[in-house]
Amino acid sequence: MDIKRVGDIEIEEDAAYQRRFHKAQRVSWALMSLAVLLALAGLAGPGLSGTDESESPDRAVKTEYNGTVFHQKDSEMTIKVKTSEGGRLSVWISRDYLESVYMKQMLPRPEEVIAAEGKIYFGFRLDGSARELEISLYFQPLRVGRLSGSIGSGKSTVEFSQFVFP
Amino acid sequence: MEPVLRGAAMYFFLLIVIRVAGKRTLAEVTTFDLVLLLIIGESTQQALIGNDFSFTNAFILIITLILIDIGLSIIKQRSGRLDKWIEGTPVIIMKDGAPLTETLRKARIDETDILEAARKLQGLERLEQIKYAILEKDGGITIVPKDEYR
Repeated sequence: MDIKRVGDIEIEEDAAYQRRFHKAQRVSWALMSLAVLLALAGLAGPGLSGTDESESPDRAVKTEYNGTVFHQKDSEMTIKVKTSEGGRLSVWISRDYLESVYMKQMLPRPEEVIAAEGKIYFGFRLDGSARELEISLYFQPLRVGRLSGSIGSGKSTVEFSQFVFP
Repeated sequence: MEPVLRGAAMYFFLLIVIRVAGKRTLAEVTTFDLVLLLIIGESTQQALIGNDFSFTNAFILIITLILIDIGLSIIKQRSGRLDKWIEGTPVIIMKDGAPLTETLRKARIDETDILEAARKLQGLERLEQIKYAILEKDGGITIVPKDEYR
């Protein structure tokens, strides 16, 4: 550290450094403000922008979820499936996605779970007159980064992706 | 590996955020600042340990933080440039009884802060009795009185 003599006093003051630091400080404040604004807008977790939606082209399968979630923090996803007939309904979720999250609960509880290649099928029984099923998934992401998945029923498929913050 | 990365990330994040917050922000600790520090500590703790409450995790985290601190102090000792950026430098904020207004504005302090330090540290009554006022690295204000008031 360079010690200079300013008047009668010996001090390691550095005016050039002070100016640079002051600029860096203002830029940092702007970046911190931006981070807060992004959080409010929902770009860093659930915020004012609400939830994201994905729907299959035939509108038979729709999912509502948070596009940004946090590592090991509780999150929720809703799956809505329309069917032309009552009785049994099967919904599948991509295996990759399910292996990247800790599934805490699925409501309603499926009657059966069948593992297939790349997919896990969940079987539900519908009341005779019911033509729509709403499933709620409660989970915690287990890894950080981009998390993509797909959900389907019959010939309808919907793709979605979430970003998991550390 | 995760506790080490968490510890290192949190150490450098806090270092930067507290540094850019400015010297006076944490040096003038009011009751509310103390509460704020406790809240920051609580938030930091949760991010550091996550769901792992094991003794080993705490052990590794503490060692990581202490080692980074030691490493950084050695680097700072060898590199004056890095020392300046991490610790800052003292700044003269008053010379011969005249406040350096631009420097005061940038440091977010005013003449009343200098007067308070002058009263507390030297028992001085007026600004004109001060030869130098210096904002130190730790955010404290040092007062050097004029010769006739020593």
